[in-house]
Amino acid sequence: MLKTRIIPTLLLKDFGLVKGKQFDSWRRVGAALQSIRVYNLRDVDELVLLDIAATPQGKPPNFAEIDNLADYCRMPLTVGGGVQSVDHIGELLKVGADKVAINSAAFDRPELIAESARLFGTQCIVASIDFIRTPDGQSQVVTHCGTYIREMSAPDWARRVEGLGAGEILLTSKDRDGTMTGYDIEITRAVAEAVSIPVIASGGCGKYEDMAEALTHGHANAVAAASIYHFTEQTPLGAKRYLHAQDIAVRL
Amino acid sequence: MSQTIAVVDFGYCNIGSITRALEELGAHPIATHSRRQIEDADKVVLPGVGSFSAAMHSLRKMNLTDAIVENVAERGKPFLGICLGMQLMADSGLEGGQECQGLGLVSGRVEKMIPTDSSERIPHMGWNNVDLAFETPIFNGIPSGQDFYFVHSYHVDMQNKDRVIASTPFAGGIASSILGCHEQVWGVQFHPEKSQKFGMKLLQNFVGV
Repeated sequence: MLKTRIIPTLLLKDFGLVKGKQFDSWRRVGAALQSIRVYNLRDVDELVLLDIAATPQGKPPNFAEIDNLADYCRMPLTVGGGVQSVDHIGELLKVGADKVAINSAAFDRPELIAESARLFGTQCIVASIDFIRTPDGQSQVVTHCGTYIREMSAPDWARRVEGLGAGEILLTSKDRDGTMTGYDIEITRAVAEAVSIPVIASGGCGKYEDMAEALTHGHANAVAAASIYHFTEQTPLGAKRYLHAQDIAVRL
Repeated sequence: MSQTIAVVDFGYCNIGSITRALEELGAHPIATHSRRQIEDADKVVLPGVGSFSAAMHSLRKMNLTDAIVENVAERGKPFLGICLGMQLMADSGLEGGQECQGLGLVSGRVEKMIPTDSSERIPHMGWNNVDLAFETPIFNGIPSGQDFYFVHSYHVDMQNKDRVIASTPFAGGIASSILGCHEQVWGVQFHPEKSQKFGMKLLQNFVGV
């Protein structure tokens, strides 16, 4: 049967990998190429690589760097950050991305999702949705690395991007990001129930139990995580062994 | 001399990872949309992602459909169709209610997958097992039931089930590898170039036939 994907997230900023807390307080955590080589050796299911500096700095994706990194990537690779146009997507697919994540530009110009899905196929268009919780507990979409707050709930935006042709949703809780206090299960589930395309839960994972929670109660189809791999001894393989023991299908 | 493998490049598609994988295996891949280079090559790989009709349109516009069919079906060159490339092998594809003609390297029709229960989401995305029905050179040394990486929304509904090399438990069971018009014409619905150890093994087997 189809296995649940355990996905490490790599965040690129300037010339290295970083990890922050709630999209801020970035700490350097090493070199991207080195990480990709290690994940190759460990047969990781898939990787997400996001350039978090591109959109805030108004820059396009760094195609040369992605080209170099993708050369070493023996697993499916989703690339995002700074994606503004159909040409950016075409170029990223050419230099080695298997899927491209669109976030801020999709919110400003939803037809970008429709156009790119028609040209490249829905399966390679990932809608990356970041959200916060309002004081009354509702989800609210944020863009531009969390700096713009949008008048739309995460499930509503998810439904919309699915209709436009996105093939997958990468759903990140800004509030939980880097806190290692667990995924936002309630919103993950609301989004998973709103759409029929795969949903990747992201933001807040601190232990393997959090992943199990996002998959069983959150109804996510895959779990992305970063801090847990950077700052603890926990590994994707350890996660899979744990999930396997919980009767969740994984690739071991 | 190392083998020349024409990797048909008909537009937007990540052919970098497939050519790099073939290079690593000692072959000499050429990403090409030239009829001449397809004719000169020892083998042909047709990769691809995205829309069936857009891909066929692109192949026709570049005058590549005849080049592929002549070299593969008539001159017997080994062929490997990957993902959309496997789907293009079929007689036809049904997309948004419109029927579109395929390469006709195998009898079958490409259709949208229909989930059999609410836990199945389309696209079929991720690692799933490939259960072999019979042995064929590209699966040499690969045990039945291994996981390969899939990402697609359509599947090939094969007319002759005897040509289904392997199936995968999704949407009621789909053909994940097929045998085309002769014994060295293969299609795989998954991405061997992204399927790590056994994916590389499959490509190595193809290079070796």
